[in-house]
Amino acid sequence: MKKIIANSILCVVLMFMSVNIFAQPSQRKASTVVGDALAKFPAKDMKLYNELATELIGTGKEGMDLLYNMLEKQDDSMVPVEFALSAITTKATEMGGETLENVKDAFKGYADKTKDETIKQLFVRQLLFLGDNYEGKNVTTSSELDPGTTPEPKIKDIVNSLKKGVDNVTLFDMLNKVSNVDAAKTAIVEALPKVKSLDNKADLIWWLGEQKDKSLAKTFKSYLSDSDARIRKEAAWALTKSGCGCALPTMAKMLTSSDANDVALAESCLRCIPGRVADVVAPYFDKAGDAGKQAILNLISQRESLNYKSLVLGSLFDDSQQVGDAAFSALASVAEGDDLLTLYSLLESSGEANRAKIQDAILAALDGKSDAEKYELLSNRNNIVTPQSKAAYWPMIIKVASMPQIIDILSKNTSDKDLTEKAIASYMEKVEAAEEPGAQRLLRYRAVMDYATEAAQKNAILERIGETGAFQGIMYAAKFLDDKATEVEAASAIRNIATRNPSFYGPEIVALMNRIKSVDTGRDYPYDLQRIENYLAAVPTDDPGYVSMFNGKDLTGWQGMIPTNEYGEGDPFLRYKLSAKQLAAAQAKANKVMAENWVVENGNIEFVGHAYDNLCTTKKYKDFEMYLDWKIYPGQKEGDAGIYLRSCPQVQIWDTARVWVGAQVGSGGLYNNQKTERIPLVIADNAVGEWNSFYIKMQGERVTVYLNGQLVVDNIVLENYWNRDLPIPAEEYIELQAHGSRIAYRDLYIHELPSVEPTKLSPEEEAEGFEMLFDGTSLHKWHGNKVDYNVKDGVIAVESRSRGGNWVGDLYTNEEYADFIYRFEFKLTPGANNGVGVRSPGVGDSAYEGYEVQILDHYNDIYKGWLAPYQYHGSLYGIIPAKNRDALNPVGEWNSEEIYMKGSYIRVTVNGQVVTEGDIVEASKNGTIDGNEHPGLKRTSGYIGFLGHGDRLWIRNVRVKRL
Amino acid sequence: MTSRRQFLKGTAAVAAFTILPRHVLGGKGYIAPSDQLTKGIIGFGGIGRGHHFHMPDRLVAVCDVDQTRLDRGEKMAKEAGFGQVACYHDFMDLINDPNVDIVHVCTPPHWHAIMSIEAAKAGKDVWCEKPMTRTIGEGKRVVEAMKRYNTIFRLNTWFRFEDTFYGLGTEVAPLKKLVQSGLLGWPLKVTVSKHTGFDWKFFWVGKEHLDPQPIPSYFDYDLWLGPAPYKPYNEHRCHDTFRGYWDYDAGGLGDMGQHYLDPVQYLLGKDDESPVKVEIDAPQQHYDAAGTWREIKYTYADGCQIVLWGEDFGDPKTPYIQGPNGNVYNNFVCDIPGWKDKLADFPDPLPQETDFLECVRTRKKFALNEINGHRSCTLVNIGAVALQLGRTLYFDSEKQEFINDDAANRLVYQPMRAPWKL
Repeated sequence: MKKIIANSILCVVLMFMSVNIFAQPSQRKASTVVGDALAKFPAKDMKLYNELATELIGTGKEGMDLLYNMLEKQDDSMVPVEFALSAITTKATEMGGETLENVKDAFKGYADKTKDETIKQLFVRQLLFLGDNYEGKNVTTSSELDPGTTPEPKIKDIVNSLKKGVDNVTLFDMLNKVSNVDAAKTAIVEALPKVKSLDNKADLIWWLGEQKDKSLAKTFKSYLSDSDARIRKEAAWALTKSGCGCALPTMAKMLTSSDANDVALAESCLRCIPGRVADVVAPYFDKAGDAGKQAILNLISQRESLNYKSLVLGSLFDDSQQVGDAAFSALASVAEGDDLLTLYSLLESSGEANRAKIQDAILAALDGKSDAEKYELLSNRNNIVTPQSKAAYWPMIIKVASMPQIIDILSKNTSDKDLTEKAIASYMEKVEAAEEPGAQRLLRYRAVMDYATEAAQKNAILERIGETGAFQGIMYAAKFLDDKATEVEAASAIRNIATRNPSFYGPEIVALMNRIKSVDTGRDYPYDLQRIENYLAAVPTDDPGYVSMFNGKDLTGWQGMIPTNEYGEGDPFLRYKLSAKQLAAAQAKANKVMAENWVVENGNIEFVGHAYDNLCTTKKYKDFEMYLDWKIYPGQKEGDAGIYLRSCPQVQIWDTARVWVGAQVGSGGLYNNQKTERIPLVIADNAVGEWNSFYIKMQGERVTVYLNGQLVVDNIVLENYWNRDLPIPAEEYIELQAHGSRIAYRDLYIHELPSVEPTKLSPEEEAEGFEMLFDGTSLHKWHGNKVDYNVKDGVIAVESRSRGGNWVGDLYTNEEYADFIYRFEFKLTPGANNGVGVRSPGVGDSAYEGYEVQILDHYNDIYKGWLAPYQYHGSLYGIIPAKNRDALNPVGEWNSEEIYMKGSYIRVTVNGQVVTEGDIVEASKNGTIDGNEHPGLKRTSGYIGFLGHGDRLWIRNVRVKRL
Repeated sequence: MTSRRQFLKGTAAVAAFTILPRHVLGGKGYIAPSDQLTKGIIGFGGIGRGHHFHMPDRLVAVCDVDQTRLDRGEKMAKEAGFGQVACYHDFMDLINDPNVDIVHVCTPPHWHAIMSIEAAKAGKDVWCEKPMTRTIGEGKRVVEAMKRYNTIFRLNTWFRFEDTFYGLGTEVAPLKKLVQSGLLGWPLKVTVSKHTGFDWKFFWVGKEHLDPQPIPSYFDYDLWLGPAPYKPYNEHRCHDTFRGYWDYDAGGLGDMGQHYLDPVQYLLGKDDESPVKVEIDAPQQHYDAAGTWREIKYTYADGCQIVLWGEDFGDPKTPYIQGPNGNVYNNFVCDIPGWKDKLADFPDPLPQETDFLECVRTRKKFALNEINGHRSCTLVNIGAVALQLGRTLYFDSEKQEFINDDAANRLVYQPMRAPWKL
């Protein structure tokens, strides 16, 4: 890669422009500017956008013509051209003057010329921005509204119409059109007493109220005692909206009215009136009737006025039931921490009727404390009250309890049906509110299912399980198919998870889906059936999918792990050295140990031994994805376990409390890695004693792990623990580790994935002494940027840059090479650019610090007309230009390449054709062709590497031979 | 072409005499025989068929330029118990149907202004879907026309008076109470982003290059386009994906903008004004297809700001409302110590007129009407203009024009394809 190629990264673009545009502006032709700019459209931000637009405008008519012609050609480059043209437009509108006129004229010309409607409309749109109504008579610009039929009414006419009475449509029509509103207000206030129609009068007061005019307060007040309720209502609201300070005392006084409707009206208004409402209304309490008292208590409650706590408490047992109820309702708004004991005794002594309100008050008094503190306080009280009173505390306790605390409550109160019901309901709400990942929600629901006694509860849980989308939910729900009362929800859960996740398939799931076809789910049964059929039809026939690794009864499919050293570790490389006879004997011994240490209990595989012992599959696995659940039992001396993949440690499992071994980072990490990441991305562990769920995917040497639905390992290389210089074995056992502490595993399902066969040297190359550097499976012979150079489906996929403008670096061999033959295959994307660094120091810019053999799709239009000879594919960059420019296959096809380097001689062969050949010393004796310093010319040996910064391409079958 | 002719004829006719609403012709206190107001729906796409059958008014007519959708409307109306409704291809026929009291405009936004104004001229009241209009100029015209024809107009979004307000986990009223109390201080900054529960729905992006396709026989594409520029047909322009094109809407901003921003305008008390400045951070926009953006920032004259973040842009911990004295986060969490107690000293917000049918009868303005609706739609539309021009714009809230930017002002009133006009 050389810095000339600048089609994706801003920093490179700028570097390019500083060299090529500003230093030598006259040397860049319009076609070069346009071609280069097009590769960067659409601009990713405003800064680049402005730069590109400025450049394009600078090309004048010539550049615009080029773009227009490209549009007419209608090839793939249409979209960037469209972006380029609108950039010219907006820039021109910003610059104005002559530029604007030139662009406008050019675009008008194109719109005239084109016969393509889409292209024409593109320019019509541009011309709109530029200020040219191109379509002229074909479009209409806005005109004045027709004058309508009702001219502005004279205020006198409005007043006159009121004498006879007028319908509300006409009245509002007139009022809305009045322009001198102040004069209208005055006239209407004056006319109001004489208006006969109550409808008109009410509407007029409403209209005056909408004017929000304090000076009208006197008028509004005068109608508060009107004989008509509707007039009083409009007047009260108009007074409230007027913002007059007199509204508060006036409306407060109204609370003493004997008319319950007026009291309610006053209360509504007072809720919206600013000021010390409680202080103003409270003094009327004794004078007020029952309705007024209620209203005052409601207002004290609304304003949470602690000053009137004694008034509230004193009214709790008022003679009037309604006043008492209002006082109980107000309790929560005046309750404080100091009132807790009072509220406790109130709760314990009062009947069912006011319980909820007192509970609200207690929770309000606890406000400001954490849920854990509230839980402790309430639980402590609950422990000392009479059994009869306990029921009053439970609703509050389950409200503040955490999910595990609710499970704890459920486990200790299994005989209390009412509590069970409420606790399960509260638990379900908490799970929903927590918005945890599906796998974790499934664990939550499974935990509470143990306490569900009623079919309705089980069904509610099953329904939610169906929404988790979690793999193990399918098999779990299947356990509820045998009970008629839960059959339908169980079937729905299975169906929902499977049909929404078509990648969940396997013999057991297919059997279940066939089984639930016969479960009549009611109204939607035909649709449900169709969804099942669709799912089944899409199940692949050439892949068994997920199969169970555990039959739930015994350890069929498992064996003891053969220890190979004094620490009891099972090194597969040592195991390979055993003879068949030795292996059989060792296996028999290991199986005996296994039988003592591992049991099937509670439907789980459990370790009950005391030593270190791994449980090992009888089958070896290459690439796979698997699900399993695990649980560390509480109270163990060393809560520690793990999953060995291909007989290598391990996906870590441990009790995060064991900080002295570093367990605080959480489980799921590839903890025995040294070079690559070993710490989980997040801590996703559930508490010791609770279940956890793993999804583990291993493809090639890379591993991805989700713990309880959260990504903890993102496609990281699992190192070969037994010999770190070698990649991990391509095929080996999966092992469940135990560390002397009790541990349980359940629900183990594995799906074997197609794996890549390593590429082998041809017999000829093998005979010649070539070495494989990349065989499709591993980058263990390489160092440097293994993030953007990613092994995928047997090739090195160079990913498009996604990390902003930062260089992440190049990929180099582990060893250095002086004279060599280097062979590889590669495939490019349009315009892609990379390079082979040779004799490179492995740091800095290899093109100068070492040598670079250019990789470039130089066929692409964006390079047309301006590429220097030494920038074409195969050139020794800046030193020896490629002579043959036709050897590359069309973009998207694979190419083979050989670089032969001996002493100062270099030869580059692409697809069998020599493209570059020459002597480096000879070529640079009078200075290099690019005129730059090449300190690397002195180097005789170094790393070989791939250089690049962001373009997508693919590399495979990389071999080398030392000369 | 019938429609265009009728459109012109209709305009002339209105100038000659006044068409009074049916409920006016019935005289004072007149209520339709079934004691229900009647409604006609124009546009039977996603919105039209979505949630408008359970309103307490009676559907009597439907209209669509797509015969399959019209047939579906007829069928669904029957299934919903409205019996046989009148079916129109041409919206002018629906508007002029004497049985229709309320015209419900459910078309793409490029039709909203014309249809609302035509309905008003015909003496109908209007229920219009969001966004209210596609340009600022069209919005001004709707405001003028509703006043001129004494029309009750509802812009249909509702968060300013009901329903839980996305990530805030509360209705707007308690938020309004907090804001109007002044406890947070002033000016305020409101950030509307995915982090606070507001998804800008960037799946409403257009395709940058559409190949012409044959127009389906059941679809009157010319009438569907109406005032929009004539571009060769491609199904992606129409029906369920039209929002991705500037000619008809403004992408995710057009779809959700008024939903999310109208309540903010209400909270900030900006129902009578517009921002004075809009800034954007976005990739360049295509001339035809609306794209994505990172940030749109509006600033009002008093310093209040509304900030929109697309996708996952910005710090997830940013509050929904930021004030000098305190912030409000998701789920209505406020960081002012003891704020709930302090807030108790303040009044509730004033009640709003939220029963549209009652407003139609009493002629009182609906809570979200053409005036404040136009202002909140203006937020959407000045954002769309800034995106298309790719630059910061200044706006005159009084005149409702951009300041010193001719190109931006050319987008205030955009030309309409003849014979359509406002």
